[in-house]
Amino acid sequence: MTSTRRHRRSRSTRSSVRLADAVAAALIRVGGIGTIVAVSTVCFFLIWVAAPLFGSEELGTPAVLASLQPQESVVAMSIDDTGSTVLAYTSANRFLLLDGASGSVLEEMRPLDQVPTAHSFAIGSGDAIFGFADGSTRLLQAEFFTEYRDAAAMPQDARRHTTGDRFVFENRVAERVGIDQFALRGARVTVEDPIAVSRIPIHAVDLTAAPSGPAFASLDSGGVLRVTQVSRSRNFLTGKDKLTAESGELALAPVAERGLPRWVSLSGLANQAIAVWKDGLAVRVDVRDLAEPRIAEEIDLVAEEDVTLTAVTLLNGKNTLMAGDSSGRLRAWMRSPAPAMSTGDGLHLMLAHDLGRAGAAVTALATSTRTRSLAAGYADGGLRVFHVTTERELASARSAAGKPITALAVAPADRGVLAWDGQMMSALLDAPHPEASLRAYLRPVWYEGYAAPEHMWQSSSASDDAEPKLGLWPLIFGTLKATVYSMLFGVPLALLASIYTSEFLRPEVRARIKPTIELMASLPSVVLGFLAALVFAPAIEESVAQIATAFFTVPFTILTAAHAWQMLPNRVRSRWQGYRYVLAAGALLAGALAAFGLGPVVERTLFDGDMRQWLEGSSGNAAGGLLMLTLPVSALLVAAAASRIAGSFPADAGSLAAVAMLRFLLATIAALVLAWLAASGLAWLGLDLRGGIVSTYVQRNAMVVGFVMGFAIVPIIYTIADDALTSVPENLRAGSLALGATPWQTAVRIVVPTAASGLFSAVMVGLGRAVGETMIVLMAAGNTPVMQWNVFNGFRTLSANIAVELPEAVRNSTHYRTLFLAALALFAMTFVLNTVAEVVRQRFRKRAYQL
Amino acid sequence: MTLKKYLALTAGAYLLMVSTVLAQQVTVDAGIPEYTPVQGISGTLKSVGSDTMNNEMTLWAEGFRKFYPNVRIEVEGKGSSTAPPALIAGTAQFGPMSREMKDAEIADFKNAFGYPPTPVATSIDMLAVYVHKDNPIQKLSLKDTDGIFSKTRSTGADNITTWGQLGLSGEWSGKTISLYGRNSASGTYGFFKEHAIAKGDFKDSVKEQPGSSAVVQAVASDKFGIGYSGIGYKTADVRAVPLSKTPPGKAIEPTPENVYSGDYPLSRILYLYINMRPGTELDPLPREFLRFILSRQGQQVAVQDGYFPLTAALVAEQRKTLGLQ
Repeated sequence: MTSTRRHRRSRSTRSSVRLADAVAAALIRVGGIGTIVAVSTVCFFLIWVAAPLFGSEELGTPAVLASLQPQESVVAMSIDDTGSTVLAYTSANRFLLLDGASGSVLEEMRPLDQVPTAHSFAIGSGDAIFGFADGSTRLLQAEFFTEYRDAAAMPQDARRHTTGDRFVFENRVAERVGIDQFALRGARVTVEDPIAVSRIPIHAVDLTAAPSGPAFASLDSGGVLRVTQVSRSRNFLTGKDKLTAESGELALAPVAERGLPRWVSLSGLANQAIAVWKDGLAVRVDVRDLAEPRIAEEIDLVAEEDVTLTAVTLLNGKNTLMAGDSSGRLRAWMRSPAPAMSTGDGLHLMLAHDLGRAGAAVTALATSTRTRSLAAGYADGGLRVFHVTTERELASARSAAGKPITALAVAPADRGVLAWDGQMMSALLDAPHPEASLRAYLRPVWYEGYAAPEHMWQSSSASDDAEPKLGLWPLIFGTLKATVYSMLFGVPLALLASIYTSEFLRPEVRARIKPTIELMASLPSVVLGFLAALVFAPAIEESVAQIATAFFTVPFTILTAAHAWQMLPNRVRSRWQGYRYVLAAGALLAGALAAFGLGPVVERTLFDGDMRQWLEGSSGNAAGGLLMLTLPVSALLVAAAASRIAGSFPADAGSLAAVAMLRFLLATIAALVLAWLAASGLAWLGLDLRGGIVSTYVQRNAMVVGFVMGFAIVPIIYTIADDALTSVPENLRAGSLALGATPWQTAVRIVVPTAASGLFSAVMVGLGRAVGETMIVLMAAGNTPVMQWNVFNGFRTLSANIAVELPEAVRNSTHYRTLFLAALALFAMTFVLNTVAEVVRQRFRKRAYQL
Repeated sequence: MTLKKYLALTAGAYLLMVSTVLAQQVTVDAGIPEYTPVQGISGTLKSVGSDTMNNEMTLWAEGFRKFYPNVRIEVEGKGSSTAPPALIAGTAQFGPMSREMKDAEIADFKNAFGYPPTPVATSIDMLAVYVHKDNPIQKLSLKDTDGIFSKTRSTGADNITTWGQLGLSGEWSGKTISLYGRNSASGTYGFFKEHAIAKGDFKDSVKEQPGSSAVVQAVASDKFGIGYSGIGYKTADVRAVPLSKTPPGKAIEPTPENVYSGDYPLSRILYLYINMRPGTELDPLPREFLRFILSRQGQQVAVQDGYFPLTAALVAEQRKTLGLQ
C-alpha cells in the first residue's frame, strides 16, 4: 500500500483490536472444540445405546423354590409376569397356586374329575388341552389374574406394608402398588365341555392357538391322528363369537410295526402335524386341506442306531421342531421349501440349526413365549438357554442336586427359568437381546420358511411369535446402491458443468448461472422426494425407452451442432462467439426431442416393442440391451482411431470444417455398426444384462432416485468444483494459451489437473450428502430391502430405515438398539469417507502448491 | 402424460380422499346415547399412534372442540407402534392403535405402571386390497394374497408375480404385479401379515409407503399396482377387490353388512389405548373425550371418515369398562 500522506503510527496495536482478536481466537477455539465434542458425543451416545446388544447373558444358579409330596411330581408349570405367583399342574391331577417367593401352596384346584391320559399346554397363553381314556378331550384355561383393592378395604396389619412389598393375603399374593391401592394376584382355572374325538384312549395331544381359532391334534391309542380346528369369527352386531369345529383324520401306517409315536405336534397355522417316534422317525402330515390330511414325508431325525430322542417340542411360533436326544445333542428342524424333493407339499423338514452336544441326555425343553430362545434341561441337572435362530448358547447353569430335569418353563419376558427335578427350582435369566450378535447382523441367517441362510431385514410385526430378521447387509447395500447411482448421474453432470461455466462461458453469463444452480440446493429434499415419488416416477415409467435413447441422441446432437458451428463463416463465429451456449442449449433440446421421437422406434427394434417386458426377460434378445453398453465403448474406440487417420486437409477453414463434419458422421455410423456387431457377438456368447444391472422394472426405482438425488448433490458438487477451477491462477491459463494450446487443451491439461484437489473434495462432499440423504430415498425408493444392483428396482437405505422404524420401536428393545447400531454404521461410513476425502485432498493440494 | 396433468391428478386425489368413500347407507345405531356437554372442561390432550386412525382422531378432536372451544387436542399419527412408547413415557393420554397391543408392549407398560393399559374399541375398519381402477380383476382369495405378497407362502400358494397368473388376459397377462404396502410401524402391516399372508414374510419387493393414503395414491398412479390399506382411504382412482377366505369360497365385497356379519375376512376393531389405573376414575377431560367418541355424534364421525360405527352393544360394553354413565 502506498500512501503519500505520512502520519505517525503507534507501535502498539490498539487495545480494541487486541480485544477483538482475543475474542475471535477464543470463539474459534470454543467453536472448534465444541464441534469435536458434539460429534464425539453423538458417536458416544450411539455406542452407548447400541453396546448392550453385545453384552453377555447370564443364568443364575437354580435355587430351590418348593417341594411337593414324595410321589407327586410337577408335569407343567408357569409363572406370572411379575414373578409373584406360580401355577403348577402335577401328576396328582391337581393345579397348585404357589407363592413365587416362598413356594408355599396358596390354593389347590382340581378342575378335572377324570385322570387325563395326555395333555398339552399352548405356548404363551394359559390354554391347555387334556385327552382322556374315553376318547374325549377338554379345553382348559389356566390364567393369572390381578384384582385391585382399595387400601381402606384391607385389614389394619396389611396396611403397614409399603409400596412394592409382597405378602400372602387370603390365598393371594398381595402387593401395595400405590398409596391407597393393593394388587391381589391369583390364578383361576376354567374347563370347557368335553369334545369327543375318538372312542379309545387318547395317547397324545397338541394345542395351537391359530389365527383362525384354537386347533389341536390328537392321537388315539389305535394310531389314528386327528386335527380339529375350531373357527372363531366375531359378529359385531351381537358381540358374540361364532364357533365352528371341523376335523380330519388319518391312520398312521408305521404304528403297526413301531408302536405309537411318543410326541405329536401341530404347527402354528394348524396346517401340518408331525408325529415323532422315540427312535427318531418323524412323519409329517399335511393338513392344509382339513378334510383330507395326507402324509407329506417320513424322515429320520436320528442317524445313529444307539441314540434315541428324549425331548421334542416346537419352538415359539410353532414352525421349528426342536429335538433333543439321549446323546445330549439338540437340533432344530425346519419345514423349508424344497422344489427338488418329491414330498407331498413341496416342503421338506431340514436340519437348520445344530445347537451342539452336551454330556448328558436332553430331558426337558421349554420355549420362550416372546423370542426364539429355548431352555433345555439335561439328565445331569444341567440347564442351558439357547437362541435357536442365531445358534447361540446364551447361558448355562447346573442344579446342586444334579438330578434329571423333567419339567421346564421359561418365565414371561425371558426373566427366568423354572425347573423340576423332584423339587421346583427357579433361576434368574438375564438375556435382554438374545437375537443380537455380530454374526446375526452381518452373516446370512437361516430363518423359518426359507430354503437356505439369507441376508434379510424384516424387523417387526404385530404378533409376538414372529421371528425378527435383523440382517444389516440389505440396508448397507441399499445405502451403497443409492450412492452409486446418484453419483453416476450427478458427478459427471456437475463436474462437466463446472468446467464449462468456468472455462468456456462468458463471465457475465456465469455470474447468473452459478447462483441459479446454487439455488437448487435450497430445495428441501422432502419436496424433491415428493416430486420424485408422485410426479417423476410415473412419468419416467412411461418413457423408459425415450430416456435410454436420450443418452445417445443428446451427445450426438451436441457434437453435430459443434461441427455445424465450425462450418459457419469466420465473421459470424467471431461475432457470436460468446453466445455459443444458446446454440448448445438448442442442441440439447433437439437431442431430447429426437429421443422422444426415436424412443418408440428404438423400443420396437431393440426391445421387442415393450421395454418393460423385455426387462423381465420374457421377450426379445439380449443384444438390444448390450448395445446400450457397447455403443459408448465403440464410440470412444472409433473416435480414437479417427483422430489418428492422417490425410490431406484443405487449407481453408470452411472446407476443413466440412471435412471434419463428414468424418464425424462417418465415424458415428462406424461406431453404431461396430457396437451392433459387438452386442450381437456378446449376446451370441450368452451374455445378458437382464438379471444383473437391469431387470424387472419397478415404478419406484434406483434410476428415479439417481435422477432426483442428482438434483440434490449437483449444486453442492458444482459450486465447490467451480470455485476450485476459478481459483486456478490466471497466469497458468495465459501461458498455456500463449504457447498455442486451444481453450479445450488448456482446460483439460492445465486447469483441471491443477484444480484436482478441489474437484475431488467436491465429489467427496457430494458423496457424503448422498450417503446420508434420507427424505428422497424414503419417498422415492420404495424402501424394499432387496439386494440387487438392478437400476430399475428399489432399495432401502440405512437412513430411510431409521426414519421409518425408530418411532415404532419399543424403547430399549433389540430392534431399537439395532436401529442405533445402524445409525452407528452410517456414522462410521460417512466418517471414513470424509476422512479419506480430506487425506487425499491434502495430498493433491501439496502437489498443486509446487506448481 | 404431462407434468400438469400429474399435478392435477395428485391434487384431485387429495380432495377425493376425504370426500368420496362409502357414503353408503351406514347408519349409527339408535341405541347409542347422544352426547351432552358438561361444565368446566378445559386443558390439553395429546394422542400419538396409528396413522390409519389419524383422520378419525382429528375429526373427533374437531367435533369435541365444538363443545369445548378451550380444549386443545394434538394428534400425531406415525403408526400404531408409536402409541405404547408414548403412553409409557406419558407424552400422550391417548394411543390410537389399529391392532391390539403385543404382549411385549403390555409388559413394558406394566413394568412402568404396575397395571395393564386399557383398550377402548372406537370403531370398525376393513382392510381392503386395492387395485388400479382400470384393473379387471374380479376377486381374490386369501391364498392369492399370500401368493402375491408373501415370500414364504405358508398357505402353500404358488408364487404369483404377474397378472396373467391371476387369470387376466390381453395387455395384463405378462405384466408384473407391482406391490405396495405399509411400513412395519403400522397396525395395518401387522394385521395384513397375520391374516392375509398367514404370518409369513412380505416379499422384499413390496414397496413400503409411509402412510395409508400414500399406498392408495401409489396404486392410483401405477396401473399394474396392488396394495392394501384401510377402507377409509379409498378414492375414485382405485378399486377394492372382493375377497374370499378360500379359493373356491364366495367373494365378499367390503360392504357394511359383510363387516357386521363377520363374513369379510379382513375386518378389525380400531382401538384407543389409555392409561387408567384399575379401580380409579378417569380425569374429567379424557373422560369427556371418550364419552364423546362413544356417543352418537362420535360414531357419526367414524362413518364420515369411511369407517363403521360400533354397535350399541359394543358401545355399552366400552362405557361400562370405563365407568361412564
